[in-house]
Amino acid sequence: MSENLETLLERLRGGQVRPGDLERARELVAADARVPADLRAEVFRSVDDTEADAAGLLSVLGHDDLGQAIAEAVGAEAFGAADLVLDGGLDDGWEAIASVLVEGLRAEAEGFEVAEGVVRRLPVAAFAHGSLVGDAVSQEAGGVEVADAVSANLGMADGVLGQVAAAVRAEAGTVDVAAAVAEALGFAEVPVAAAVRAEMGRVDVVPGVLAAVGAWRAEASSSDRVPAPANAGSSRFGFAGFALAAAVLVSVIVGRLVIPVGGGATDGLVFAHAGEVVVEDLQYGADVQVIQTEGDEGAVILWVDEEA
Amino acid sequence: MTGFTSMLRGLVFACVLGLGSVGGSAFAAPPQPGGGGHPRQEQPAANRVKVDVMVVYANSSGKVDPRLRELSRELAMFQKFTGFQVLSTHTDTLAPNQSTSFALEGRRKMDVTMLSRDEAQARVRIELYSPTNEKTLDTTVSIHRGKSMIVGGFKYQEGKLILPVSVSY
Repeated sequence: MSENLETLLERLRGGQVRPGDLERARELVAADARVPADLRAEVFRSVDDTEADAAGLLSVLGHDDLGQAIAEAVGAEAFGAADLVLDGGLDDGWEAIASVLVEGLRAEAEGFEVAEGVVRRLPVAAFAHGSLVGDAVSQEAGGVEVADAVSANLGMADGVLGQVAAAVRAEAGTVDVAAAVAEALGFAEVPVAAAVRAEMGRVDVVPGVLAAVGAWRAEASSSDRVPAPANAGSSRFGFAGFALAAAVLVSVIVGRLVIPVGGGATDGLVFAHAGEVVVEDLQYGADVQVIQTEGDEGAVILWVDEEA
Repeated sequence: MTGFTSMLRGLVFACVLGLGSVGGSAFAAPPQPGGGGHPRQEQPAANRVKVDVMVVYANSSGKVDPRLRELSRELAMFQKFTGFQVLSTHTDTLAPNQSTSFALEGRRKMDVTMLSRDEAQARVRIELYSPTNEKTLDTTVSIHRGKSMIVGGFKYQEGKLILPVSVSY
């Protein structure tokens, strides 16, 4: 009994390839109008690609969902682990303030409006003046510290203030203001890391050592007069000394001939961070993808994916 | 003092006087434009930029060249890369609008053109070619003086090639 295309593809995807299966698959694909014309001639041309071609065709035909498989493949390729979680849903209770949070975080804590969302989540019975607090905070651009002054003027209990603070923390989470502060101070980025790296390079201990040695020598020179060397005038020892010095100098010279002096590209890589590299133009081949990203410590990376 | 001792003393003094010039770049292998070789030691002339390219093989060997510890920290996001090995280094000093070409491992090629520079940064054009001599990447970047940018992801053996590109002047 001849099997249909879907059945054959499922078997091929599972790795069960029998003699004649590839030819049969090509015939069925060529005759199937559901498969795009430009794809019909490309599939099942190589035995090594059989499983992948079968999986792709099943997806084209609507018989398979590759979403999770793709996620696993992307996760394995980029992060070395196949535990990439695709979950874009919102927990209940967050929907009311989701737009508020997103807008606020994108503005980097400037003009972050929390009043409405915070007030909504507080118990109504214990927060009779919620709307007043919300309006006051809104007018002050969402500054939490203003809520305290407003609440104090309204004569509100400490318990309510604690609830407001906890609600703000719960809704706003952690807001990174460092970038905004650095920008206000005129820094493209806070150059702490670069400064530390520049300063920690070489530590010159020579002055300290020499100072200590000099002090010792000063103390030693105050001792008894050093007697004249016992071997003064011996030509035999003088010759050995010169020979030794000549041998040392020759070895140093030969050493410098064969060993390159100084640093090169392999010494002291200092990676440029965002703001220190500007990609003015970027073009790449049709069969590759290029992404600009940052390393784990902020270095700018142009990553070329040739397997796209 | 014998005549031989006097001659030896003269040899020592001659070595001391000649040490500075002998150990300099006159005996170091000059860098080959477009190829490998040891980096030059002299500072670039006015308006010239020294470009250094390192070819790094990122793999899963677990061995990290001590010179590449900083690079390995930057690429920690790629958990499968546990080993980093320096395959080669290339350097050249370029005047404005001057180009150089480096032959890289994996039958790849990189062309670098220095477009301009100022006190803070240098503008360079980087072109990378595949083993089939097709242009894979063509980018113009401004890099701060003394800093390095990472270009990577090219297939090589069981891993990838990572190319830190540095400019200095």
